[in-house]
Amino acid sequence: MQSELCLHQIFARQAALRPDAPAVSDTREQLTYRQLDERASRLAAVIQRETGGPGARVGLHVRRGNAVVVAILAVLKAGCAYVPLDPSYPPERVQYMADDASVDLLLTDADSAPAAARTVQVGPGLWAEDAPSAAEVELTPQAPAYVIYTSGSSGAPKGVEVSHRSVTALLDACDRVVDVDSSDVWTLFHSYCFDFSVWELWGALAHGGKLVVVPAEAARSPESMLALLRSERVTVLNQVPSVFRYLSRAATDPDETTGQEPLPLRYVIFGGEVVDVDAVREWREAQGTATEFINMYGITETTVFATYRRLLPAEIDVPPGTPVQPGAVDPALNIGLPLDGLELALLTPEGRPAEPGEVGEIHLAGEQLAIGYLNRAELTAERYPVLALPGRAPRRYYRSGDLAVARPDGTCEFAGRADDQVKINGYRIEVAEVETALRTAPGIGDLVVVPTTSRIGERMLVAFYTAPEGATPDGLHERLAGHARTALPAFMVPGRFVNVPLLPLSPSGKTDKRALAEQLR
Amino acid sequence: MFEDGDDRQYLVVRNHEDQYSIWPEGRELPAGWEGVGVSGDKPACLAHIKETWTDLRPLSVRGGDRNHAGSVD
Repeated sequence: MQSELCLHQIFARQAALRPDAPAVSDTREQLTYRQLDERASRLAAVIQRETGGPGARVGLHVRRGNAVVVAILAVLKAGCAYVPLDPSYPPERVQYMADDASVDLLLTDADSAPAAARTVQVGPGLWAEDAPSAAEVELTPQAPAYVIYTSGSSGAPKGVEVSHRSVTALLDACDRVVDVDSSDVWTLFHSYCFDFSVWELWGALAHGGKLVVVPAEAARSPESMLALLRSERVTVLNQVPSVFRYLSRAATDPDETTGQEPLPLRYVIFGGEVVDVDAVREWREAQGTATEFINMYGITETTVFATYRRLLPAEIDVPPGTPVQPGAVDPALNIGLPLDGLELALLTPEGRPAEPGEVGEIHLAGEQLAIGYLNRAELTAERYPVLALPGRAPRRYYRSGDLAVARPDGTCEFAGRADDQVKINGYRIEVAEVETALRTAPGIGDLVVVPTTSRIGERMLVAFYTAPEGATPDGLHERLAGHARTALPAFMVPGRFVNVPLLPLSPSGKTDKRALAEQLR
Repeated sequence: MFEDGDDRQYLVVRNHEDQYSIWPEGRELPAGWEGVGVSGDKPACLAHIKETWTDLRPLSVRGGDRNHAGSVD
């Protein structure tokens, strides 16, 4: 149990146990636990000096590489909370997050850094041999460790503030699901703006393992990623299913399998969306059956993962297209059981627990609940209500907006959203937020965004727009697409922009999104 | 299907960690929570919470360090 420790103390314990073991590598440079510890302690001294110490929020605008890991550790060692501001996100959004979180200090090693109260350029000079190390600070594990932004239905992203304790609760719970130790090699595949990264980073460092920071070009290319998995001998890989689909396709290529040992992967852990069972089957056919596949369901507001389910060979290795028998587990949709320490309640609209076969909204309670939405007390009170459920002491729950069907075996089967939030490549997207951002493009009449599914089964956003009355749509497409790229992170930019003379209305007077989606067929 | 469209009356309630929530008026208060003397429809209760609950961190965390206000000098 690590519940009494802060995250940086868990790291310090590993650094003391195995100072010369590899801790992090970005394939250009490898750092041992001692080197990572020293760099982080020196950078923490700078953060303490600049912020005055514990309780401050530090924005991280650091390019993908070992420096991201150094900086995260340094912020925590200084007793502060980090706010990820990945420079690969559009500057407008980065500035919004920096302002909304009112960061006290910004650490940057990239161009076009957002404006902040104070800014420090991050570089090797800050952790040179003769630089002083930070003194250890007193910090309760209930203190915030990070603020990660998620899509907001009101049109603006909102920051979720998470404590050290919530992350250690996650780590403790996951110890019962994945059996990992200091011999394991993990990847930091995801942006540190995405909370999947919290699990990747701490899953490795809390167990004394090695973390490979995947270079941007490898994260974009399935072939390069496979080469990296092989050369770094990665054993634990976390993936969003729609991204894994491409990796699986590349891994089944005859060039990849002929004369090659199967990859040494022990675990592939899915998060963010429904599992693509076909991709898992194809992977097993090509790469052997030594890898265990685990489906995790989770939400930033309850610290990365909330439920887990191991995929069983018998349900994966069936001929493609085999329908799931009535009453049997659907391996794509079943999200299993709550992690240890989390209570999951499926509640009907009347607020009573769903009976087997009924749909309910997922509510979660336990140590993994985030502190709340930064500077949004009313939203926090609304989404984290106190509930008195039958036979249980009253406590705070997080109301997820995700729907699931209760099964007789106690597991949950994912059943979509209660609102118009969508997931694309594992990223949570509020359609309203995309619409709000795009409607500010100059020269647009009206605009709506509709989630659709392409012919090859991929989820995609499509923006339908009109020209202002009396104007022609000439040049609007380019202007709108350009605006979208500067105003929104890549994963939120619609895949298509479609000009229509008029947005159709449904009988209730709302824009008829279904009719628009039909136009694409 | 799970939208509130909710015209019930609520109370603003608070627990020992100074965390706030709303609670249907007329129901027995949940153990460990107390009313703060404010009631009304949902938007009114949430508006009161917005004004009052300025530091979301549990009370036990707020003690040690200074409030986060950017006052670092």
